[in-house]
Amino acid sequence: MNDNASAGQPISEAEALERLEQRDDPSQRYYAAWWLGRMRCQNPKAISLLIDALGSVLGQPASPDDLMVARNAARALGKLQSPAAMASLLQALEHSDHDLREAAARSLGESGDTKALPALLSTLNRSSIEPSAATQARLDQPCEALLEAIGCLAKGSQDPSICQALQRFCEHPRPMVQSAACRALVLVSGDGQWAEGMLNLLNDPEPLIRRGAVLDLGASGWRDAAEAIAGCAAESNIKLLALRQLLEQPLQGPAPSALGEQERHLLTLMDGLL
Amino acid sequence: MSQANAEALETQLQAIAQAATREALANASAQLVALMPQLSEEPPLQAQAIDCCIDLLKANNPAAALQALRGLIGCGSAAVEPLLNSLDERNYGARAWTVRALSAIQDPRGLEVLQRAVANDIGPSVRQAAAYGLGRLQGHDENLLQPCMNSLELACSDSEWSVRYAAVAALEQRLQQGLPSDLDPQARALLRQRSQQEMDDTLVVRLRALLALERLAA
Repeated sequence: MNDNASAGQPISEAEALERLEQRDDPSQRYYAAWWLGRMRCQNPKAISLLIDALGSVLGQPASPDDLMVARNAARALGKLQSPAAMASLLQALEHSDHDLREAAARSLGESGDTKALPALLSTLNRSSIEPSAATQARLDQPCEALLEAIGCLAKGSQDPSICQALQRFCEHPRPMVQSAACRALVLVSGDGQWAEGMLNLLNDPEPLIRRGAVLDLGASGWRDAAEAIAGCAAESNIKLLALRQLLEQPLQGPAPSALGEQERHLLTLMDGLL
Repeated sequence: MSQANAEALETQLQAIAQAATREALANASAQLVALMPQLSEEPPLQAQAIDCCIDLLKANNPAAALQALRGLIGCGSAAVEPLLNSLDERNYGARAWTVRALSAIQDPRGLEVLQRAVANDIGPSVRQAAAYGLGRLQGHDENLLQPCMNSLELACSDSEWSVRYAAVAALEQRLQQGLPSDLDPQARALLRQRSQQEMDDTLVVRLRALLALERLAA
């Protein structure tokens, strides 16, 4: 194997397509699949090659190498937002490999296509919430990715059955799953009361959990959380990113096109973090 | 008084030298920093504390380094020479903390370090701190302001949004403090560029530039 091939050197689109198409070196295929997603390659051939790479592990036994390539293909298809990938990504949600299900869930969320919602919800509903989930290396389902995708796709729908499905996860033994469920509930219901679970986690003794709650609050767009985010014991760059999201993607209404009172306040908080 | 301070300092320096865990080092650092305001009237003791803080920046322990950063900022200009002399191009982590300290202390002797960081540092949060610091360096000398403006112009086209955001905030500060007639139009033009969608694809940067222009017009 050529060591330089997978070392992240700049390559051209034609090279990336060639590397994904060949079958001799899986590490080259892995890198090419990532590259095509990263570069948002809009060449139709890229999409069909990625769908093939994903499809080769669906409904049939697959080698670890093929699986590794398929996971990156699933991730890339999310970034390319191609409607043609929907069927394969939905099928991947049923795969026995946890990481492939996770990649598929995230990509379905990125697709923006609400047709993916029923499958995402039924996968989420199959996840059991046992106390033992707190310590298992892997959950039975990629809950955080599923919750994030459902929140994106059902934003503002106020659908009571979706909200009910999400509420079950607010009591999950893992704090990051609780946080993801609260974030999705705020987005779907449009109601900031569901942010409380995230606000509580801002005081968690574990830095990683505080950081996750800061980012989830930012992604929820609930601007009342701004002060709590700015005051959390977390890295400034994480807090800046969360405040940027509150400013650019408010829960209520479209992205601001001019400076209002709330925007001025958010910018003042951001300046305090520089 | 001096004897009591010397003994208190010695105790803290020993606690830091003997800290056996990362947490113990962070706690001992916090205690040293709490003592430092008392040392401001006694330069030899303060210098010892400053040297210890600079060593802590190199300890690869973010909690301890954050404490040390606070201590150094509290010393103000007394910490500048030791910080400049400590610069080690090979120790990336320590260099990043040094840039943050010099940015916060606002002493014009930090200019070159901040300029180099804006131009070359691979860490976006370091370029961001340096850009913001360039807006706050004390002084009105053309030899300070012209290089500041050149670096802020560079920071305005950084690929990372948070660096451009910090540059916009810094430009506003420079303009609020008053710029000579040859630099003032350049700074305002940079702010206007950042406020335009064709020039900057990040909404929060455009809004920050609009806020700056609005305040400057008031």
